[in-house]
Amino acid sequence: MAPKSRAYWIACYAILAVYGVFTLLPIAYLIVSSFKTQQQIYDGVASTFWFTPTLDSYRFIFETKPILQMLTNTAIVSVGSTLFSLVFGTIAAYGLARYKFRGRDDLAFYILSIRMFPPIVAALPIFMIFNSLDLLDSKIGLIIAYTSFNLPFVVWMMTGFIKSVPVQLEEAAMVDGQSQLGAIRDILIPVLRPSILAVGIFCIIFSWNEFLFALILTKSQAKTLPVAIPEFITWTEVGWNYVAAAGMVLVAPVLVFSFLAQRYMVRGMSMGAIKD
Amino acid sequence: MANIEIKHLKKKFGALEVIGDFSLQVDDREFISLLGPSGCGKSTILRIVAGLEELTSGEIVINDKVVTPLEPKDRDIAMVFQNYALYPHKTVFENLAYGLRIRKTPAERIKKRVGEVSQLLQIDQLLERRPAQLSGGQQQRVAMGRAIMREPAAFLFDEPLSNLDAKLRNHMRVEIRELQQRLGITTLYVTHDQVEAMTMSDRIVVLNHGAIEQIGKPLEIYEKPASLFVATFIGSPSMNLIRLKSDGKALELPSGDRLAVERAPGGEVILGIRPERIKLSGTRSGNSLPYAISLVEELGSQKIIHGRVGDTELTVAFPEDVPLPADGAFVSFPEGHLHFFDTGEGKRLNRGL
Repeated sequence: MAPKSRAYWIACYAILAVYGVFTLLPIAYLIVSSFKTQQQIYDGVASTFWFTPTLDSYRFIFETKPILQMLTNTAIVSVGSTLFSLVFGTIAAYGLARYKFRGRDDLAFYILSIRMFPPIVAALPIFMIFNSLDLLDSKIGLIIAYTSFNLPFVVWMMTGFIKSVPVQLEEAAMVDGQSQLGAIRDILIPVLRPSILAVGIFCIIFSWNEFLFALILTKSQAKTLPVAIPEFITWTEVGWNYVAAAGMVLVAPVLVFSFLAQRYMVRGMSMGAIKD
Repeated sequence: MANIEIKHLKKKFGALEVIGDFSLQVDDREFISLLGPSGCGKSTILRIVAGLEELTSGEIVINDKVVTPLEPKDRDIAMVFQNYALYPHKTVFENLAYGLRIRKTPAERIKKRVGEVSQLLQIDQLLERRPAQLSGGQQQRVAMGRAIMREPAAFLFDEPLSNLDAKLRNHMRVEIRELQQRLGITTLYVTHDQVEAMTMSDRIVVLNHGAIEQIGKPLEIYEKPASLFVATFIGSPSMNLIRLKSDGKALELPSGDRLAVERAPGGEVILGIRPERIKLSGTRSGNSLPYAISLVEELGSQKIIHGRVGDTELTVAFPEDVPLPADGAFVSFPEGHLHFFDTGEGKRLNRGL
């Protein structure tokens, strides 16, 4: 490849810089707003990034709402639904990847297509069913709901990953003296571990941020943090600083987590793009 | 040490019959190759013997024990795969040790055995590496090592050399054969490469469309091919085939030339003669035919000469150190090396010759 000219690189970095500002500015705005008083929010463009910071908003939200409990709920529901999705999704994916049966490809596409219609379509039926099963406002209920949304994604991704592992690895283990299940446990799962991790990260992030079903299916006990955030906008006041502070509490763990898990996420997104 | 017996094996995929009534007896310490073009069912047979594929009917016996209903793990066999199938997340040591670990062999015995096997295969310097850090030849050796770790009753090879480059392939061919003879392990070897089959095997099974064309020692197969398929599949460059009429005493070539022979089947037949058996000379003799050379391929060790007798194309392999006749070449066919096949099914006609 011919070396690129200086102008090419200047243009490249200019575009990247604009894009970086475009994506990061809202987050920067969220951060600064969380350290302001309500008055400072409206102080004008000049003082957007120039003000005396205060922790008042944080103090307020932790005093008025059970933020920690909701954060714990969010964590439990995210991790729980991710574990269930990975276990059942990988089992289903194994069947789709390793066995030929009539209608296999149709079934795989049908599973993926569940992911394609808007979740709100299922909201009312799920509410009715959960109501009669006494699952409303329970973490288990939310875990079941999120699992059902994550499953198609897990099945689809894991099917691809399993297909990319030569079946001869399992066969070699079986000839070596292992049962089929043993071969899956000893050979396939360890080989797939980075892929499982990558898919799991996407599941966790989806469940962590989910708003719609948490709003419909929970009330107090199982309420997750995303649902609580807009409650700082009431009919008497619009507490942008509180919204920002609660948003920060919600976003911070994800930011740290994503940063640590970066290389697995890249693997997940570039699946199949490169040959190992 | 064991024998393998395959009795009346049949395999269907749905309505498609891929193997129809295949029987084979592999004796103790014998090396048998299953040779055939891709899609002839040779790998399927091997996988059925291993227990990785189910059979439609028939019976597999290993070491005088019927293993047909058993899982691969209970068949006491070892297999080397085309892609080696080394466990990518395990070190070479753990790849070798895995079979013994499953059997709960004490750690010290495992270590000792890995030491023996890795020395035998000269991979003892690589034990801490992972498969991705090995060259193709090294991976091949580890795969072999994994197979011999447990001292199985039989070896199964599924085209183990086809992923190697030509030079390494020749080398590993010798190594595998030497190892097999040294350890004396009964071996079933699947390949589409006639050179591998010819050089390594005690006996070769030539397969076509799931049926046996011929079973025999390498030279038998080469010297007395049982059918047109075998005749053309074995040997490079492949056998010359000429369709002609015979009255039992003379052959009438398409060019009109007549060749006197002592004995030949009568009627319309296909004559086969290997390029390296044809005599080429610059002088006409009693039973020779004029030969027009059109192209000479230099191979170093020999020349491959393409040409015609009348309109009939004929390939001749000619030793390198003899100069080609300058003008006017003649070919003659030594009678002991003529093969006759029927024009219908292509079966060999001169069984006795």
